[in-house]
Amino acid sequence: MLFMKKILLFLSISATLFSSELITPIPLNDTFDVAKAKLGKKLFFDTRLSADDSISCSTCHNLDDGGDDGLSVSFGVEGRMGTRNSPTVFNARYNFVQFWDGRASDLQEQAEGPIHNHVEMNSNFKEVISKLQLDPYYVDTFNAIYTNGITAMNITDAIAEFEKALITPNSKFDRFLRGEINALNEKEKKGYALFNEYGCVSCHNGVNMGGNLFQKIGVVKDFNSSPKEFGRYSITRETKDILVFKVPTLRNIALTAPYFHDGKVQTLDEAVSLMIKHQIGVVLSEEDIPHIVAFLQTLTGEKPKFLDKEVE
Amino acid sequence: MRKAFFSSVLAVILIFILGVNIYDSKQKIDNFLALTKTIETLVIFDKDLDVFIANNDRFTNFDIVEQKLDVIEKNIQLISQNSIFNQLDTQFDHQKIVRLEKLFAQKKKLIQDVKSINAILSNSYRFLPKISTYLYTKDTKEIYTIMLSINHVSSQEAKRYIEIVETTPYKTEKEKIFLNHVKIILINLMEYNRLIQEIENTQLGENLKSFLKEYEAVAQKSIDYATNSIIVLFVVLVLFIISYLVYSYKVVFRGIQFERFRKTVENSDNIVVVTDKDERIKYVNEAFTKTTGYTPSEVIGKKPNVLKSNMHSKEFYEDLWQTIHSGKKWHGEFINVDKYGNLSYEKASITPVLNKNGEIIEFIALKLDITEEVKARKKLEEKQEQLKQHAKMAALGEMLENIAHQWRQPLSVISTAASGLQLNKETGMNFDPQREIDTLALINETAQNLSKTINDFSDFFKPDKEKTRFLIQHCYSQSMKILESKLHSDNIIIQENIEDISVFSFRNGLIQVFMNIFNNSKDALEKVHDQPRCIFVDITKKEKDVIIVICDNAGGIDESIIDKIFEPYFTTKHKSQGTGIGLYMVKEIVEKHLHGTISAENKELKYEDKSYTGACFRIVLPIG
Repeated sequence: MLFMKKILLFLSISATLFSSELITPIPLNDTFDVAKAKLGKKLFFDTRLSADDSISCSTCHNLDDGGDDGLSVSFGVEGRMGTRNSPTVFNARYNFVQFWDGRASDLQEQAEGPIHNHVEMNSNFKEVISKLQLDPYYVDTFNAIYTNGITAMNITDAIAEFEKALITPNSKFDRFLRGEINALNEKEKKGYALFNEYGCVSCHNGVNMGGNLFQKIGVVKDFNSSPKEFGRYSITRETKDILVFKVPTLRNIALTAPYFHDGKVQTLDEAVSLMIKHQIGVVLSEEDIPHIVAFLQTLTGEKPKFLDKEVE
Repeated sequence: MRKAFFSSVLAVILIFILGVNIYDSKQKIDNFLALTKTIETLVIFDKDLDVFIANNDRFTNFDIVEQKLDVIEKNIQLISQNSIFNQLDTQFDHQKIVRLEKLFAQKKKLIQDVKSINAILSNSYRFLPKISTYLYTKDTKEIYTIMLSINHVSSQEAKRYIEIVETTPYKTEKEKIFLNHVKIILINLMEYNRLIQEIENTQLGENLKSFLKEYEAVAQKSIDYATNSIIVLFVVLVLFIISYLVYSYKVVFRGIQFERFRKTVENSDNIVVVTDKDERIKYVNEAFTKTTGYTPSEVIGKKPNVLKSNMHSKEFYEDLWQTIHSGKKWHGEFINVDKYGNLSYEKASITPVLNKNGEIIEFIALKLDITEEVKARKKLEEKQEQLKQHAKMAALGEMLENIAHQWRQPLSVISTAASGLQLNKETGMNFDPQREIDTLALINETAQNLSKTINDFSDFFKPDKEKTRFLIQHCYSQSMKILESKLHSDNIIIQENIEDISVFSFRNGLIQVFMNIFNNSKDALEKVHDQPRCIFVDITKKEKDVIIVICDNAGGIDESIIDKIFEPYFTTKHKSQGTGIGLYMVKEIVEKHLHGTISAENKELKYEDKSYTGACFRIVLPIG
């Protein structure tokens, strides 16, 4: 009985504490260090971060498009193929962890990963730093910003700071959330209602509509994935984490095809129907899909202001 | 000066320490409050997490969960980095914080799983009512009823239900989906229960609360200590300031006193000279310059022997040196020479000033210029010498007069007898050998008498060398013997009342006194005619004194001059007759030699039933 009472109490409190909107708009402005971000931008586009000076961050995270590379899986130096679809760098700051399996706790930690990855940049900091030190711009700028000049920590810090600037506010849906009721047309509104009704929002919530929890792909129905893919299990080695991934953001989803961790799904229609099949576990009526897709297309935001300003 | 400097330094140090302490305490209190707030935030946010955890059947914005996790993580970091824990005592060791961090990390990891399950559960729960309208079989409907209130179910029950669900037949696709969701719910509820249990086991909330409690207790102690030390320091400072004020007041008061003293010294008529222990002059006042002509700059650092006149013996200076160097005060008179070579007389005292250990640190000489006084004194001495000479001469004259008086009659006897004898011898008439012998015998006897008178007089002129014991009437009759012929020739009657008194005193001095007074009376009586001339002599004993009262009936002394009669050179007689020193000499002898007193007054006297006015001299002498 006591336990029940406690539960009731918790529930009543929870009604107030967690009753806020499930989805919140991307802030129009968010904080970041401009000087560091400028430096980070240089680094972001700098191929010297890779072993053969062929690959930069922007190779896989095309800022002119959806912040990803539009490929199923990314390629690295010497055309080596990766195993996962590269996630968008836009709004990545709002992800609670980075990478599909969440192995990096923040942007800075994430930025380090590709530099060392054999199939990505295949380099190391010793090499990168010695290359950057030949460039007076980097020497001067790093010395101006950091007390200890060009270091691994400072490189990733600057890149992370740049990525913090990469937010895409003011999507149609965000304007709708901010009270602009006519920002969505009827079809889109219907799509939003379906999005909630089907329970997509149970995982795709928060400012990034995802990126704030881990979830197994194939909750209801097993998902056919590459036999080599174990998801988060590779990090935790706990069986419950097999095929568990960070739920990806739905922001700019229309621009970031192909979809899912392996990039095997090319269209949104397919992605939505697959999700409902494997995660939601209901039979989808065919006319609902275009509505939901229409809704998802309203999630494309404005390009980061920081990119407009910076004209090289 | 040094004291004042040290006091100021001490005060500054005290204030500084107090300031540091107050600042430190303020920091501690601020830190304490901030940290308490941090820990309280932790407790509240941890509760929020528990609320979220308990809530497994509705959609949640996981951003909020993440934000709360972030806040907790940051606050634990704040605590961990807070320097206060290094200052607190060892019982509050860092392990507690490390433990908190560990517990939180556990809880955070578990919550990530709860989030996943929450998403699945809330989704499936929401789906059940929707699909329930499509349920046909009794079994599935029954399961739906159970599921309506199943969100908190034990794992055993869940397991049992799963078995039931797995064996439950379904007829439609929707029923199949329904059963599938039920199964998902049950499986996830079991996992959920396990997670809840694990989260409960972390006891993060309880640990935070006890951490807060312990921290408050320890921090309170440290704050109390800081507060107490501030109070103590403050009290010390107040006491110090009070004592400093008292001290300053004393210094000022002493300064005023010193100033007063300094002015006194500077403006004194006394010469003040201060020397160090080696007798080098450190200070002289204005009177010094006035007297000696030397300015302070001319003598400071020099020894006082610049004033040496060479009028004193070597022994004089040795005695002075030894007295003051033995720590005693020296008194005496200096004859010094000033800057221009003039001699000056100084009455001086030299006092050594000793320190606490009895060592001499300096000498203070106080001197009074008495040159003028010495000159006056010398003049007076000369005058007195003159007086003495005058008195002697006067006495001599009187004596000669007395001798003449005494000798006139015997000499005429001798002369008459001798000339009678001569005549007889020349004429040869009436020659009688017996008569001749008788006449020669008379001449011889008379001559003998004259010789005796000379003895009497010469005795009288001998000054007394020392006191002798004598009968006072002997002394009186000896004076009378010298004067009697004169008194007799003036028909002066002596009325005597003399007791037999033995005194120990100067005999000749007393004779001189008698003779002077009698002479005065005789001179006064000579001017009186048509009445008997009397002198009354009354010598009595009263306790340890002899009272001598000598009066005459010559009309008394003029009242206007009665106070002046003992002054030297005061006389009522003609210049030829009086010297003016008779009664002055009497007073000098009575008071200085005989240690008695003398006074004069006019009195009514009776003789043969008749009343007369006369002068009375009353002498009181100690019997000795």
